[in-house]
Order: sequence, then structure tokens, then C-alpha cells
Amino acid sequence: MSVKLVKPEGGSAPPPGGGGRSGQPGLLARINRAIYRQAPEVWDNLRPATLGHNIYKSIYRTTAFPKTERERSEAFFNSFLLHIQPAKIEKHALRFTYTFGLGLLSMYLFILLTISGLLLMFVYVPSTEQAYDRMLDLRSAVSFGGVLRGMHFWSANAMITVVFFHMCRVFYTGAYKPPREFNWVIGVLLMVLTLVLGFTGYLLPWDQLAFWAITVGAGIAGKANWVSDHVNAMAPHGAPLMPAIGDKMRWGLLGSDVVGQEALIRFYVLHVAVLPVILTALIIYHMWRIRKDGGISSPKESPE
Amino acid sequence: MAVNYDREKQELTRRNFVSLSGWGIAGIATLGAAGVFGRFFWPNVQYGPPSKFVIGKASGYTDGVKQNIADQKVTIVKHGSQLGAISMVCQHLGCTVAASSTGFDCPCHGSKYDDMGNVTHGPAQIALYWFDISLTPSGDLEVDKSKKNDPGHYYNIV
Amino acid sequence: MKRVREEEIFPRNPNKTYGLMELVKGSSTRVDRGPDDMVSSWPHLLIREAALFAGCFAIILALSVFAPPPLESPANPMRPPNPAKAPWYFLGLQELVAYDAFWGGLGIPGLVVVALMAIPYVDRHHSGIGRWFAKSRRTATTLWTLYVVVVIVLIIIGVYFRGPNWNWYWPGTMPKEVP
Repeated sequence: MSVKLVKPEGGSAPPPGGGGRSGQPGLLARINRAIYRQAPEVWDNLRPATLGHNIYKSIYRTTAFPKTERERSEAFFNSFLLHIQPAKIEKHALRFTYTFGLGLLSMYLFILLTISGLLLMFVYVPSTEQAYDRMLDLRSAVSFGGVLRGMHFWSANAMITVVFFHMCRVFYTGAYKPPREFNWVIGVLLMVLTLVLGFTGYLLPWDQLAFWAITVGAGIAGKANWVSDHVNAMAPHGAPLMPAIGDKMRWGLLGSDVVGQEALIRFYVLHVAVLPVILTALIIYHMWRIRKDGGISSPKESPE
Repeated sequence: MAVNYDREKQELTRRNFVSLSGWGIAGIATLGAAGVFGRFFWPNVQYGPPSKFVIGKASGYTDGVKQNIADQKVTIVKHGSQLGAISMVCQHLGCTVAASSTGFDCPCHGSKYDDMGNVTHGPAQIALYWFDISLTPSGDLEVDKSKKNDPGHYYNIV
Repeated sequence: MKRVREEEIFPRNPNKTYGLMELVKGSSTRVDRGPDDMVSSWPHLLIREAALFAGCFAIILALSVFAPPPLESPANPMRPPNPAKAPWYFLGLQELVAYDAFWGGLGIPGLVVVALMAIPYVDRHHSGIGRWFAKSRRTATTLWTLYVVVVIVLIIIGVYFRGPNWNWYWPGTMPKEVP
């Protein structure tokens, strides 16, 4: 930041827009002079280069092109997005054939799903009368609607595959062993949630596949009656009976006895709000724990 | 980089016990409140279609023919003076069964039932329900899908 | 306390601005390398992450443009399609469900999830971390491979070998959907 010294009176050229009459400075010129007297650096601060630099520095305090090791470390420490990752990383962790990038890939797919899903919400209506028509509209009447639905569909399928492969990678490399036990548990939960998100999303187009997949899914929930039936069979005579837990679960899932409007709105809210929020929170926790558990697993941790 | 675990000495002193009970009670109270609130998802109102519906007069049904009332997923069977209403919802996982020459077949997982709704082939394990039938003041028959019975729950039409 | 002992091992010379800190095993001094084989995340990690995202996005975009997702006829509660198949990732489950509804749909999957969560508390032996298919973990590797094979085989059966009425069909003999 530089401060230019200016002569307070009788400066070189009259400031622009300064009246035009000689001898008597215009209003703008007088404001200009007043500002110079009170805070001489104001005009300097407004120079495009200075202003741009200061705005950049106020947001991000490190150079955008780090060269020294120190600057490179600072680039990670000071960035909101990057600070969850270590500034220095073991070469082994960078080997593509060690992780195949599967964990990060599943997060990328989740981001793609969130963005495409949010955009699809602008068109979709969770009503049994309109849902299917909106699917047709996405194809024919909405620009890029088909592509967005395609991205949502393919990202979802890819995410389920990638999450499973990620789990296999973690198992085969022994990366779940102490101290990473709990992160594996979180990972199992993440996989289950991913599957549930796939399931709830399947109902929304309200086509034949959707309807019958959910009918069968709800039927499976109803089979939890097995538990209450067996408990009741073992209970002593006259004891209060456990309610049919499967029927309760099925009803809670569908909001009714049959798959219909109530089921659609429940699955919709679960799919677009409840489950994604839980999944996001767990992903953040999963990543935080990677750091807290000592970073990505490495052969240095155990003697072979 | 081996990680060292030294297990902290965990003793249940009186102080720890009181602390643990305090947290435990607070936790149970919170969970209980949340659990009770779960009733929100089981409202005392049913938005779905009503369970009772009118099927017309008994004379409208032919002897020995399975008369399918598709939008209610019910089949009416008549044998002489006897009338029954069989559910078409598969007892396995809730798909809609289709009438076939041998009885009813489920397309989803291959369950098969005979003409009475008894299971002849798994994975279903229970027979199809037979519903209650009653006579309305107008002389029409009314099926109540909330009243479920075993196969052979016929009504004599007088 | 520790400090005192260190000073005993490597006595400090007050006339010098440097001193002996530590003895490290190794054949030669390492130049231009951080300790423990570390490199800067910028740019080594960042460039890989960016490339991964570019590749991921490109593939998804290409798929969504050239292979649009399926949409079947509108839902018809009166008439299930025959066979009524769940999405592919649930077809393994559906195959199990076809044998027994409770155990296939809730019992076995529930136990599998609990078993998965229990793995790191059962197998705590500190060997073979950070290597693919470490020899010292042959049993664990075999068991897991068995699990993966079962999952994949069940899904393949559900997708390719199950036809109308959930009957078994060999590929090629699968009839068209019964209306």
C-alpha cells in the first residue's frame, strides 16, 4: 500500500468534473480536496489494482501461486476448503493404485448428486398426479432436464458401486484396524444411508418400477412382525402383547396401508432433506476422523 | 508409527457413579421425549382409500367365476349360494396377484395360491385373506377390507 | 526431566549456536526430501484431486448424455410388471427375499450390517496395514472375498437369471415381459 504525497493547494491539474470555471473550484473538486486533507490514501485504495489485491488478501491470505515450501503449506492451512487436508502428505498415500481415489470419488459423486438433485427439485412435484408428468417434462420441455436427471441417475448408481469398492479397498489394505475402528463403523453407516437414499429416490418418478419396488420394500419392513410374533409366543399367558412391530414400521414408512400419496411425500422429504443432511454430517465426521486417526493408512504402521 | 494404547484406569468411584447416573437419567429423559414425539409419524387419521366398498347385488355374480374388482384388489368368488371376497394382495411382500387357471400367481417372487387362496408354492407362507361381507340397507353387498379371515370364509346368500 | 537427560547424552557447548540433537539411522543424508517421505500437498495432492474430479464429472456427463436413464410406464397399482424387479443394487436382496421374507429382507441384511461394524473390534491384529492383500492376513482376505463374491453372484442371479414369476431362466431363454 503506497501513499502518494499530493500538494494540498494549487495542485497540478484540476480534478476531473471540477466545474470548469477558473478560479472557483467546483463541488467535486472541493470534495476531492477535502478527502485528500482528511485521508490522503483513500484515492489510492480505490485504484483497481490495489483494491483487487486488498479484496483478495482479505479473503485468502496466501498467494495464489505458492512457490516456496512455506507458501505451499500456508496455501493449505489458510484455505477453508483445503485445511481439512494435511499440508504435507506421505508419498505412499498419493499412489493411485493404493486407494484408487475411491473415497474422494464417492464424495465427488455425492456433490454431483446434491447439485443435480437441487436443480431437479425446481421441476419435480411430489404428487401422485403430477410426478410422472414432470418426469416426461424433464425429458421434453425443460432445457437440460434430461441431462440433469441422467446425471442424478448415473451418479447415484456410480456412488453405490464406488462406496462398495471403497469398503473393499479399506478391508483389503487393513485400514480399519486400530486406531481407525470407529471410522469403519461410520463408513458402514454411510453405505447403508447411501442405499436408503437410493431406495427413497427410486419411488419419486412414480413409474411402474418405482411403485412396485416400494411395495416390495414396504412389504419387507412389514416382515419385522416376525420379531413381535415370536416375542408374543414366548410371553407368559395374560401378559400384555407386543404390537405387531412390522405393521407399525410399514405404516410409518408409507403413512398409510397402501403405497400412495402419503408414501410419496414421506419418501420425498426423506430423500431431499432428512437423509442428505444426515449423510453430509456423517461425511464431514468421517473426513475429520481420517485426520484425527493419523491420516490415511500406511505400511509404516505395521511390520509385515 | 505404532500407536500406543494405555488403557486409562477406569474406576467406578462413588463420584463417578453419581455423575454417570445423572447423565443417564438426563439421557433417558431426552430419548424418551424424542421417542414419544415419534408418534407424530403415526397420525390417527388414514388418508388412503376407505376400507369398505360396495360390490353390488349378489345376483350380479356368476357361479364359479372369479370376478376381479381390480381397483380394490379383491376377487369375488361364488359357489352356489355362497359368496366370498378374496384379497389379491400377496402375503409375501404385497404385490398384486393375478388370477390364473390354478388359482392366483404372484409375479414378484413367484408365490402361487390355489383357488381358495391357500399357498401351493412359496415364498409366501400364509393364505390370502378373505374379507368380511355385509348387507347394506339398500340390499347391496359391502366388503370390509379391514376384517381379515382365513380361507373359506363364505357367506350364505339367502 | 527428559531434557536433563538429553543434555547429559549430548552435552551443549555454550560457545556454539548449533548442537547435536538426535542420531538417526540411515546410509546417507537426505537432500531435498522431507522427513518420512513427505511431499507438499500443494501441488501433488491437489492436482490429483482435481484430475479425479475432472474424470469423474466427464464420465458422468457422458453417460447422462449418451445413456439416458430408464423411465417405465406410469405407476399402475392394479397391475405389477412381471417380473417386478427392484433396482439392480437391491436384486441380491430380492433374491434372498424370494426364499424367505423375514430372513432375506431383514434378518440376514441386519446381521450382515452388524457383522460389518464388528469387524474392526474382532480383527485387531496390527499386521498388514497399508498393503493390498497382505500375506499375514490371508484368512481375513479370503473371508472378505467370499462375502464380495456372494453379494455379486446374488445380484447377477437377480439381474440376469430371474424372469417372469421369479423363475430361473438361462440367459437367452428369458421370455419378454408377460403383460
